[in-house]
Amino acid sequence: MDIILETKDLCKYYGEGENLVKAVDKVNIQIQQGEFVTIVGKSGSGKSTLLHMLGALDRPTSGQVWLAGKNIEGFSEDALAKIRRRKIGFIFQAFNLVPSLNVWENVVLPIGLDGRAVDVDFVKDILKTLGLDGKARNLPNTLSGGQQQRTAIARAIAAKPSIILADEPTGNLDSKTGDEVMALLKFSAKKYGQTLVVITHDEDIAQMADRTIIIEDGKVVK
Amino acid sequence: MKKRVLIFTGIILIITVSLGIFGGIVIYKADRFEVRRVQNMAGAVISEYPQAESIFIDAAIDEAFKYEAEGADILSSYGYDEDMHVKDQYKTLIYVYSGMIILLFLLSLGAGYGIFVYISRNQKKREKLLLCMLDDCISGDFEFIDDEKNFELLEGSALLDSLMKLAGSLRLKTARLNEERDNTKTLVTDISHQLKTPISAMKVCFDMYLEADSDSEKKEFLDRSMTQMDKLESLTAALINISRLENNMISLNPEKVHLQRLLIDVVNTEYYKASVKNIEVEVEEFKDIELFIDKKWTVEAIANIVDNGIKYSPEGSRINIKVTKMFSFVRIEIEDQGIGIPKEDRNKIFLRFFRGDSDIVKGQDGSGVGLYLTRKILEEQGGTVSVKSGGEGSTFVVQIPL
Repeated sequence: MDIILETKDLCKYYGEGENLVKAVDKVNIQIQQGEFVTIVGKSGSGKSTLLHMLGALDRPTSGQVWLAGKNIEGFSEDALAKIRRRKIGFIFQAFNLVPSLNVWENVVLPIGLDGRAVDVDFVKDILKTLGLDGKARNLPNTLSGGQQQRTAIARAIAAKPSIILADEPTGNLDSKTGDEVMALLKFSAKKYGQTLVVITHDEDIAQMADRTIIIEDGKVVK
Repeated sequence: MKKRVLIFTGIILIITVSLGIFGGIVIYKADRFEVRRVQNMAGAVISEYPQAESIFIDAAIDEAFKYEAEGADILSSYGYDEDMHVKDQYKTLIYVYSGMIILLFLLSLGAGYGIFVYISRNQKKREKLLLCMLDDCISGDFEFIDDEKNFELLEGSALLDSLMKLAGSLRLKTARLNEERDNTKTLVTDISHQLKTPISAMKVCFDMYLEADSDSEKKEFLDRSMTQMDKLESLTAALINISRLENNMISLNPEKVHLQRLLIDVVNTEYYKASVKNIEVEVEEFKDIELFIDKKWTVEAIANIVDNGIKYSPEGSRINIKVTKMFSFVRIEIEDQGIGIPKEDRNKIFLRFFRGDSDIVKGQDGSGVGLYLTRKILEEQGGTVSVKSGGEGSTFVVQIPL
């Protein structure tokens, strides 16, 4: 199977001397096309830092990230921004929706920013899959937490990225809604053939994944 | 596209305007000739015969051309007719004008040809690129999907969009096929591994039987091999289910199913086993929900969970089934008062052939297939299963799409 995302001796250090913090320390992971992987660790274990580097949001101190067979180490900021917009969909704990835009506008915003045409049928299909077809004209503040996170999922999927990176996507939701959102995320990533990487501290959520990577003190334990 | 239309309109406009300007210049020049000729004639006549001035002026401003015929007669007797007139005075102008038109024609022909060559060369490049991509598709190499260069040259092409969709779905299918193949490989390995133990145990029993001296010994070894035989039988039954599901030999046939009916079937399936251990399986009351799922297999999936609960719960305990309707899924919680599942095992219990390490688990019959099947059946239908366990008892959470 194709490896879509790979790290080679990935390190991220902060501070120096006695204050040196090894947030991510020599991490080697491989994620295959279409896989659903959870990265589990306690808060402060370096899992978010790892996700930021996987998503080209942050540059490593040393080591490399390979995305779809390309080393992104030498890429310019512009090239990285392009990769983030086209190849990667992000989902965050805080939903990060634009409050003045309705659901539809929020979902197609990244495609518009990229100067691409919106595949209207595709976006409609996503909204239907995520149970948002009746909410397209609603503003985010009229939605429940679960619906807001579903909108964020739709936004991440709509740009047809190869990879979806989710950082504690259920962190702001009660456990039942969280389970449901995870099921939807898993179901839609499978439906649209996207690779799904979810960071969580909740091991129950990790059960739904194909594979779990456990990280402790910046190191991959398992 | 818009740019091209703009350029095309511009060229047409330039040609029309230059034709107009040249025409205007020619008409102006001809007029100048005419005026000069009349001035010349007026000067010649009036300076000889000043009394003819008023006659001349009248003739010049006469719009009815009363004397035209007489004048023509006189002039033509000097060989100065219309043909001569044109030949002499307007020849150059006509030549210049025709020359201009020919020049313009050649220019636009050249420009048009240039544009044609440019477009067709571009077209060829695009075609070549599309062909390359198609070739890649055929040979199963889908890396071009991630190559940004392709998008620049083919920006906005409807063909590219369709090709990308095609390539994307092909890539997905290829990946799934490969995954299936890998699955089958590991399945065969796993099954052979599972079958090895009871078969070799049986072989040992038969060997002992053949070498046994007394009848009582013979009977004991026969009994033992019978036990192994039973194990083998239940194992093969489970394996057949797995292999059918793995290889998509069983197609799930979704139909409209009432959840209450489905859960009653689940409880009925497990009723005997529960009553033997005096365990009460209770479904909490809920408003009935209609689902679109395969009834037989979904009953099997949930019954496997209840079956596990019965196996690992003490006598006289309860198993509680609770249904909550969520937004896109129905959530079914199956709670037992059994031994629970250690944290480190919770990710593994849904794996094929996994069995817990504790003595209680080892003391029970089982092949590590039930929960694996449960997960497989539910995921195949867009659902999920997970477990929350807090030391005493486990709660399995099943989610099925509404």
